[in-house]
Amino acid sequence: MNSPQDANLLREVEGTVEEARRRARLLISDYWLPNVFFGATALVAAALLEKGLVLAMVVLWTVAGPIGMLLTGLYYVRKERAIGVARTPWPYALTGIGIFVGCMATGFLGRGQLLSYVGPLVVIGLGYLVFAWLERKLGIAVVGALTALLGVSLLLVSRGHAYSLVLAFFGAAALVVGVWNGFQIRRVARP
Amino acid sequence: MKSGKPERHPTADLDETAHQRVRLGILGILSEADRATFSYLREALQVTDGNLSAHMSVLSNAGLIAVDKGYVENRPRTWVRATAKGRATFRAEMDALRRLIARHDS
Repeated sequence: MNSPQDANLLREVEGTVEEARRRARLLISDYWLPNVFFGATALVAAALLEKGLVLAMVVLWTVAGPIGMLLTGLYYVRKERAIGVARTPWPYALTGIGIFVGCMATGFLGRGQLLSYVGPLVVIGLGYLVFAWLERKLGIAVVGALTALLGVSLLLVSRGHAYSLVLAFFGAAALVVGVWNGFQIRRVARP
Repeated sequence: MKSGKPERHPTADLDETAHQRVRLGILGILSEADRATFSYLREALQVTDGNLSAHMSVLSNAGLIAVDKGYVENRPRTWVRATAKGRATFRAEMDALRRLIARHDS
């Protein structure tokens, strides 16, 4: 393996393998649905909170949480069957359930106190950091870190509109991440 | 001053089983995804059923991949996944390949 032809052959093999890996990675890095769904839900929740409809917001999350997780699970099962390549779903499912349970628990235990505002934002932020690690995506990590940090800092300064503001930030950021990923998935899925 | 021990050539690090374009491609895809179907691998690597089966047998016999057969909506489906040994072999193989290319380029 010393001639220039050998080197070209090695480069060709490396290029072919890396392209096959890249395509598989892009196909399975599909997270537009949960981001769009929960991003939109967070924006509606923030609007409800701004109008003082706290109970409506709690009901919204209680209903939307399980529906969103069910829809996401069904979407991934269908997609896996359709494209024939997948990651193990359990780390994602456990993180999603952890976020839902964590938000509900801190909201319930806080009973209108600081914990019920800071807790869910920190739980969402940490959950997104786990998703970012699973996906190796910096953008998702930034959304997670900012949601948790803004949640803690804004709420410690002023509780007034801080919760709905940070919730709106998370919703908008998750929507952007989801829509952007949706475009990428459409592009790579096109033959 | 050079030591008396000759430098190890990167080709010595190539794995006879994995160092083949299709087999390396199978391990490459399975190092990104946890599992892939026989059909996905066939289309992604642009090989025939027989060719892919033959390469999968070699990898399976070497303990680099595991094959699970099942049914989805009454249709047979073969899932393939890399073993821990398969993932490690793929990483070592790609490292050796890159070292060889770098050696040519230098």
